[in-house]
Amino acid sequence: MLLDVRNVEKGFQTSEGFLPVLKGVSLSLQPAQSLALTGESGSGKSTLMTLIGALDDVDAGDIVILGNSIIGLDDAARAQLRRETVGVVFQQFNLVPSLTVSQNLALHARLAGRMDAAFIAHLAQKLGLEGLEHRYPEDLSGGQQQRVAIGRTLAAKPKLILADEPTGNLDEATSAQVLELFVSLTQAQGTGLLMVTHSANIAAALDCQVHLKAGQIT
Amino acid sequence: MKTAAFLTLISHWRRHPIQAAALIIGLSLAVGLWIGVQAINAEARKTYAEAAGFLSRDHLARLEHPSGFLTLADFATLRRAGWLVTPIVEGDLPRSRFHIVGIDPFTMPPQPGVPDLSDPDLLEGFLTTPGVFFAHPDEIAEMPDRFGPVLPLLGVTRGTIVTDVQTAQRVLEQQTLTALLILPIQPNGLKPLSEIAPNLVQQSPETSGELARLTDSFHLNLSAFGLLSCAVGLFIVYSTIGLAFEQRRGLFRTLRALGLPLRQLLYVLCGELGAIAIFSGGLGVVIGYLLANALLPGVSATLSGLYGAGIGNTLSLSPLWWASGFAIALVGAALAGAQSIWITAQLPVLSSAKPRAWAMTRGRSLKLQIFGAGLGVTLYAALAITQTSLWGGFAMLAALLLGAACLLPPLLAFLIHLLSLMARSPLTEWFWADTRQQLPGLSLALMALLLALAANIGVSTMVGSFRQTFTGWLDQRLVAEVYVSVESTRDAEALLAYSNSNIDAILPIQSAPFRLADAPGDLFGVVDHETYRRAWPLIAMKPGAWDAVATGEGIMVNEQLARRADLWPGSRLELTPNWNLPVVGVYSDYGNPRGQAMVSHDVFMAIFPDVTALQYAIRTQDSEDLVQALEDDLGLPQGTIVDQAAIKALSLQIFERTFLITSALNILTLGVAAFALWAAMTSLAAMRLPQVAPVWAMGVTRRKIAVLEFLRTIGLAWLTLMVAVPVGLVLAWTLLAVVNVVAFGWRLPMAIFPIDWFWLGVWTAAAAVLAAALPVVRLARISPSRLLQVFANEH
Repeated sequence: MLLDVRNVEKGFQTSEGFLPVLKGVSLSLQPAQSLALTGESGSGKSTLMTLIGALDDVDAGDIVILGNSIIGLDDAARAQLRRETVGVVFQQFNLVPSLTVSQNLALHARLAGRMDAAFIAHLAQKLGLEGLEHRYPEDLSGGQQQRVAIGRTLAAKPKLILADEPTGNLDEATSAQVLELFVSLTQAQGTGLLMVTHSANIAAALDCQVHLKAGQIT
Repeated sequence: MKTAAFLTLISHWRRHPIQAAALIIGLSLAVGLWIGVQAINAEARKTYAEAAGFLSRDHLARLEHPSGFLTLADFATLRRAGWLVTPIVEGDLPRSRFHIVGIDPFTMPPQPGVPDLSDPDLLEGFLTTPGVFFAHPDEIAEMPDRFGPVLPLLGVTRGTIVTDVQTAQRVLEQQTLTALLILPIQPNGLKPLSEIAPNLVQQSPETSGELARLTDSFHLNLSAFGLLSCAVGLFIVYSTIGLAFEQRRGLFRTLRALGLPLRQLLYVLCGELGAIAIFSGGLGVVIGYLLANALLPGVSATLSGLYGAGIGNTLSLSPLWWASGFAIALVGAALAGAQSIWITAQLPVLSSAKPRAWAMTRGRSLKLQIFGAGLGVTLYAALAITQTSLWGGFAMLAALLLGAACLLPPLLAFLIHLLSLMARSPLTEWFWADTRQQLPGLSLALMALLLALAANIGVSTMVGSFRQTFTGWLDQRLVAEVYVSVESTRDAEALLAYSNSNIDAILPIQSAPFRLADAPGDLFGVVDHETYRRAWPLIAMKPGAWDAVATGEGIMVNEQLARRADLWPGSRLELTPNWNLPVVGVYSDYGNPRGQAMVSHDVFMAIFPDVTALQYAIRTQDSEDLVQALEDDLGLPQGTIVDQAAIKALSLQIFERTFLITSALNILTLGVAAFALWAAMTSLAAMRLPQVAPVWAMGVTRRKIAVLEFLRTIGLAWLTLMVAVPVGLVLAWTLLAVVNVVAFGWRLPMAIFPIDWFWLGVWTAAAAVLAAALPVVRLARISPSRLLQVFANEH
C-alpha cells in the first residue's frame, strides 16, 4: 500500500478555543491509483494534505507511507520524505520568484538528485510552457504559474503526489489537458495521486473519490 | 542538494540587485571605515614605537641634572668609576621643525639610529667641524643644509637629526649635556651612582613612549569616530538582511516543502551570509586602504599640529589587514544576521511571508525603544556625575547616541500623530496615515541619519567653539607686533643692543625643557612688562599675581599642567628639591601637549644660567618699518623675523589642519547615513504598491503621489534633524566639558552656530531627495497594469 491514513485527528487553537478540523479521518491509496478529495471550504481538505505531506503533526492517528509511519519523524526525515517520496502541488503555487520557469521546473528534481533534462523538456511541452522557459513567475499568468508548479512536482518523479486544487486557475481545456497528464504520468510511473478538487468532472475522472464534511469522511 | 538550495537562495540577490548592493556596500563601508581608522592608528603607533626605540629610549635609563647642569666632567667621573654611560645632547634646531640629537660614537653601542662610522673618513668628518648629520631618508630633501652635510640613515626618527655630541653643542650653543644614558650591562662591584654623582637624578626608560602617551586620546577619538561610522554601516546591513530574510520566507517554506531539511537550510543561509561577508570584507579592506591613504596626510597634519608628532605617509597592505577585514565582516554579518537566522530557525514550515508586516513590526516595539531611550539617558546622567576619565567620556557619548537613536521612532510617531490631527483634506489624512505606516520601515535608516547628524552638529560645535576661543586666545597670546628668532648669542646681544626709535620694548622669550610635577615640560622666564599684565590669557589667578611673579615669589602654570597635577592658585610647585613656589595664576595654552610654567627672568636665570634667549617679542608702533630695519641693520636673514599677522595666520592654518581628519570622517559618516536612507527607501519601494494603488485608483495621479513621496522623505529627514540638534548640542557639551578636558587638558567655552544647522538642513534635504529619487521616479512612471496587479493579487 502506498498511503494509509488511520483515524487522523487534527485541531487548532483559536481565540475562541480549540477548533477540531479533522475528526478521525481514514483513507488509503494504492500505487498508480488516483483519489479525489472533495468537500466544502473549511472541511479540512488542505489540512489533511499538509499532514500527509509531513508538513504538520497529527494530534492523533497514524499516517503510513510505503509501509512506514511518518508520525514522530524528525525534521530531516520528514524533509527526506518530501524530497524523495511525496510531491506537493500547492494551491498558491509557491514558485520561487527569483528563478526562471525552467529553473523552477528543475528545482525539486535537483533537490531530490533526480535531474532529468529530457523529461523536464517533455513536461514543459506537455504543459504548454514552451517558449516561457526564461521568464520569471511574475511575468506569467495565474494559469501558467499553476502549470509550472505542477511540472515542478512531476519532474521530481515522486511516489505520491498531493495536489491541492491544481486546476483551480486553469480554463476548462487546459484543465482537461493537465488532468490527462497527471493521470497518464501517475499510471505510467506507478505514482499515487491524491487531489483536492471542487470540480465534479475532475473528481469523476479519477479512480475514486472521498468526500470530507466537517472533518469527517462521509 | 545543498548546491541547488544555495543557488536558489542566492538567485534572490540577482533579482534584487539594489538590495544586494546595499548589503555589500553597507558591510564593506563598515569594514572599510573601521579598518581605515585602525590602519592609521597602527601606522602612527609604529612611528611612535620607532621613536621610542630610537637610541633605545624605551629600555635605557638616563641620568639627568635637575637643573640642567650636566657636563662632560660628570660623564668623565662616571666613566672613571667604571660606569658604562654615554652622553647625549638634545635640542630643537633653530628656525626649523627638526630636533637635533648629539651622540658620542665611541661610547654609544650600535643600535637603530646610530650611524656606522667604520669608514675612517666618515668618522673624521663626523667628529670635526662642521660635522656630519644623519636624518631619515624620507626627510633628506627638506633638511636645512646650513650646518653641514646631511646623510640618510634608516632608524633615525622622523623630524630628528643625529650628529656628534660636540657638534650638537655647537649648533645649540650650549656647554651642557642633556643626559647620560646608562647602558644595560654594567661591570660588577661598581660604587652606587648615588655616591659617585649624588647631584644627578636617574630617570626610568620611556617605556610607553612619550608620544604614544600624548597621542592616546587622539587615537581613541579617531577610533570612536571609526566605530560610529562602522555602526552606521552595520545599521544598513542589519536592516537589509532582515528585509531579505523576510522577503524570502516564502522561498524558505517552498524549499522546506520540497524536502530541504531545516538544518541544511540554516547551513546554506549561514554559508550565503559568510560568502557575502568574505566578499564584502575583501572590498572593505580595499576601501579601508584607500581611505587610510587618503586620510593619512591629514592625520599627520593633525598630529603635528597637536603634538608635534608627524607620522609616515605610506601604508602597506599587510596580511593582518585582510584577516581583520574578513573577521570584522564575518562578525558584523553574524551580528546583523543573527536575529534573522534565529527567527528562521524557529519558523514552522508553513509560515507565510509578510515582508511589509515585518517592516512594520520592526519599528513597532515602541515600549522597548522607549525603555532603551530611558536607559541611555539614565546611563548618560550617571556617567556625567561619576566619571572624569576619557573612557567615561566616550561611554557618555555612546549612551547619549544610543538613547537618542532609541527615542527617535516613538518621538517621530508622536510628532506625525500631532501633525495628522491638523489634517483637513482626505488626501492629507491619507498622507499622514501613510507616513505613520511608512515610519517603522524607515526607522533604522532614520536612526542612522540621526547618529550622523548629531555627530556632525556635536563635532562642528566643538570645532567652532575651539576656533572662536583659539582666535581670541591668539589675540591675547600674540600681543607683540614682531617676533624675532636669532641663531646665536652674538646675534641676541646685537639685537638687545640695537637702538631704534620704533622699538617700544624687547621681551626675551626664554625657555628650557624642565620636569614639572614629574613629567616633561618647559619652564619659561619672562620680564615684568605691561604686555603680559594686560593681555596674558589667565583663567585663574590670585590678587597681585603678576607682582608675585615679578619678585620671584610666584609661578604661573598652563591649564594642562594645572588640570593634570591639580595645581591651582594656592598650590605649590617644586622647582628643585629645596625650592618651591606658590602657584599664583593659571593661563590657557591651547595646542600645547606639554606642561608649562612661567617664572620671572631672575628665577629662570638662577636655574638656567647658561641659557640665552634666542627668541624675542618686540613691541612697536610700526611693524613694517621695524622688520625692514632689522633686516637691513642687523643682517638678520629672511624668515627669522615674523610679524604678528603671519604667526596668527600660520597658527590658524595649523588649527584648521588639526581638524582635517575629523571633518573628513564627519562627511563620510553623513554619506553612509544618506546611503542607509537610500537603501531603505529603495528596498521598501516595492512594498509600497498596496498603499499607493487604492489612492491612485480613486483618482490621485501618479505624479501627485510621487511629489507627496518626496515631501514625506524630506519631512522625515528634517524632523530627524530637529531631534539631532539638541542631541548634537549635548554631544558638543560632552566633548568640550568632559572628553577634551581629559584628552587635551583644556576646557573651552561652548558657542552655538545656528547657521551651520541651516546648511546641514540644506544638506539633509539634498540627501533625502537623492535617497528618494529612484523609488519616486519609478513610482511616477509605474504602469497602470502593475498597479492593477495589486488588486488582482488580493483574492
